[in-house]
Amino acid sequence: MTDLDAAVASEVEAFRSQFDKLRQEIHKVIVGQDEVVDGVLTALLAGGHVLLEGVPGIGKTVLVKTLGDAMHLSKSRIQFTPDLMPSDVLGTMVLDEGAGGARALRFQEGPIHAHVVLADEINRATPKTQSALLEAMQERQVTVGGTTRQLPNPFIVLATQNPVEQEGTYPLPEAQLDRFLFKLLVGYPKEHEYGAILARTTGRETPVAEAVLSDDDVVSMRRLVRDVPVPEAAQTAAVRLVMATQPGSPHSTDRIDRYALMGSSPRGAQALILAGKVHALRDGRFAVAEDDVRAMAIPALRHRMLLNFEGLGEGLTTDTLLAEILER
Amino acid sequence: MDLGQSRRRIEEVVAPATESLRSRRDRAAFRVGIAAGVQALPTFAAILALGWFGGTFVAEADLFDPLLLPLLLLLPPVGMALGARAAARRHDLVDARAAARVLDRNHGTKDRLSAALELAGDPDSERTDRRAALARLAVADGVAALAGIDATRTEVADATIRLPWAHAAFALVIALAPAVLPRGGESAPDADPAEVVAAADPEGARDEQQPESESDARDDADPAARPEVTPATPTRTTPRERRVEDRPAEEQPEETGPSPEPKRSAGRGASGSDAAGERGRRSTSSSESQSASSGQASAGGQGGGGQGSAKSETPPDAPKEPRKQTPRKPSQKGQRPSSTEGGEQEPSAGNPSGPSRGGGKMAAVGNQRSGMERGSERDDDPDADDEDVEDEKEETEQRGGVMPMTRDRMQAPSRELSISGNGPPDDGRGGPTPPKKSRGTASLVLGVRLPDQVRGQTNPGTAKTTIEQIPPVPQAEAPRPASPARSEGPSPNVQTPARPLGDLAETVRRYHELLRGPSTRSASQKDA
Repeated sequence: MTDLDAAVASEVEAFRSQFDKLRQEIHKVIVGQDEVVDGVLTALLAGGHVLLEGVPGIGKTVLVKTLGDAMHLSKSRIQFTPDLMPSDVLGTMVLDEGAGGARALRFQEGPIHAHVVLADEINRATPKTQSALLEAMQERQVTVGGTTRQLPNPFIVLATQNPVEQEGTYPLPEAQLDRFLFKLLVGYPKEHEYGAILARTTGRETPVAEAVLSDDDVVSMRRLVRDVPVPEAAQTAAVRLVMATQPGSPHSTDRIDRYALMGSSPRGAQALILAGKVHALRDGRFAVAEDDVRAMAIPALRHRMLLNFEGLGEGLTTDTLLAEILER
Repeated sequence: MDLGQSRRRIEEVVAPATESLRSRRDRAAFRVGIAAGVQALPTFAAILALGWFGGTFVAEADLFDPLLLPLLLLLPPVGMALGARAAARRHDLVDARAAARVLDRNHGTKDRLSAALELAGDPDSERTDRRAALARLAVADGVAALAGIDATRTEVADATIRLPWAHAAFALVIALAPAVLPRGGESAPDADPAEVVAAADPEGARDEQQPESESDARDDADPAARPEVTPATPTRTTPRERRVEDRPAEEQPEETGPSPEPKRSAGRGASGSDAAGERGRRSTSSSESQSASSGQASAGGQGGGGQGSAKSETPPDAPKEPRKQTPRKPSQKGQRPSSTEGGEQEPSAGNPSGPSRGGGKMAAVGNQRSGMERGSERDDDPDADDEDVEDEKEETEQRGGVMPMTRDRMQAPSRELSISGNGPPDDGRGGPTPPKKSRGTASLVLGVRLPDQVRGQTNPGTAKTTIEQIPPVPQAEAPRPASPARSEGPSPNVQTPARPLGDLAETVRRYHELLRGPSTRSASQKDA
């Protein structure tokens, strides 16, 4: 084993320890929701964004705030409302008056210029405002007044939305949904978790997560993730999984052909591979396995599929169809 | 240990699994070939059987010769040989990486072996960057995982190929059928149709025996009068036909032809206004024993029960057999003893809900109604016409909703104001009626939940965009050079007073005083 190999091996070990430390810190505040926390951390290290969906009051916003607290990262919160404008998100040019009375246009940064951005109830904003996030989420930059400005690195958007109270909301467009690496469903806590939740939230002191990672740590962890090799078997599994969601493809099932209107884009395969790399490193392995890809399939593909009229009428969900693909 | 050594080490460990997989694939290919051959057996056996049964399919050729049977038995080996050939062609597809994947799956090593084998053969793994370092670490991880690998454990989760034993058994049954069944052309002689029918319907055959025994002598004398064995099939009749049949026998058209003996006796019963006829009719709707007695009454020439018409020829001392009914010829429909009573007996005419074989069974509602209606529609009844409406209502009630009468479906007289009387209702003032409002399409389909929006599906919308292509037309005159327009005076759009208003002020004042009248003028004079 060369020195480089030893250094990389120690990096992998550090990756695991930092991941576990960050998870523990978040769990100081968040009770349970292991899958959701792991999913958020996986997306953070894979360089993706997360859409959290759940009913009100189950800790979506608290989770995002805790994640920001657990890292030395700038964070901002945008409460999406129907009258929110793109300039409220991205920033705008303001007329600034200098000391000598000289006036000049100055760019006032919007809340998107932060490492961790909480887009709370993102589906309450109009599509015009939602689309303001497209460039920011994909290219990590914003263009205002003809000038393109880079967003800080690392940059992650954690959006929340409510599956009920759909009146007056604007469902996210497919192009926007496709830019989220994961869509995580936040469910109700389990019975044995209620005691800890009540103890932490109704007492005199509320637990707060301490920052255990810096932005440089996150960036280096992301670079390590990008270097993880992907064997052919894992890559083939990812491609076939994505193609299986596309109606009419040679790998799709009969029910997909019947009930799916649209399948995943190649972004879905990218998400599977990237998330699979993080999953492999978390597991102490140095290459992606087929199981890593399959473990990430449902959160990475559930929002990239669309059911047709018949599928909606049958009451199916994309999770059901994905589970059938995985069991095949 | 460098990458080459690691690869060879892994291949050595995986080699038994590779061989095991190959042999497993070979066996699977053999089984597929045998299965294909066995599946083809029933077809060949069927051809053999057809050849044995008279050779109609293949002319006079006898396929069951000694040459064909070995050919049949050769099918499975031929399939096996084809499968072996296919296996040989796919033999090299099973490589060490596939075996490593099987071992990974069996031992839960999460693709460590297969990944190590692949990355060890990748030339990029020799580089000195972090990705290559990770690849080398993965190879080392795979080699370390070899310690717990048992290469003889190669449980493959391939689909098991089962031999189609059912096909083989089916082929055997078909092939042995000629030995059990009589050969073609030696079938049993044509059976009497009556026996065939009797065999198909034993109860019907029993019913037929009695009338034949009763009228043996008559049938011998008149073969044409012998009843056919065709079973009576119930036919639907329209309400109009039923009404025609419900009329008294005197009103029946002449097309019924000369009535035979039963009709005459029944006709007397139908037209009779005597009490005996009424008794006979009542007996029709009563129990079976009563119908037997009415038959006796009709034999005496006074009653016309349904069974009486059939049994009017029988001697009074004939043994009573319950529900013996002679099957009718199709022409007997016109030779009914009476339209009123025959209609009740005919299962297809007067008794829509009655039994298909007629007999003494009568519908509980329909036939009672017919009997009662006959009594109320006598020609000598002066109140018959006055009670038409009530009879119709009663008739509808008594029909029990079985078949609504056509008269009931007549449209009620329109009381709407309209010019022509047939058009849509309006206010009587003429002119076109207002257009009917469209209420859209039905949105409720029971049992199917209809989401009110389908995500990702574009709304067709109501706007229509028409793109019209207009070709450019060349200008007729050559364009003149443009010259700047210059004007000396003020712009015409700007209103400038031609002269000051001072000259006109007095004129305007006097004009307004003139308009306001003398009172204003006097006031102004006072002021002045």
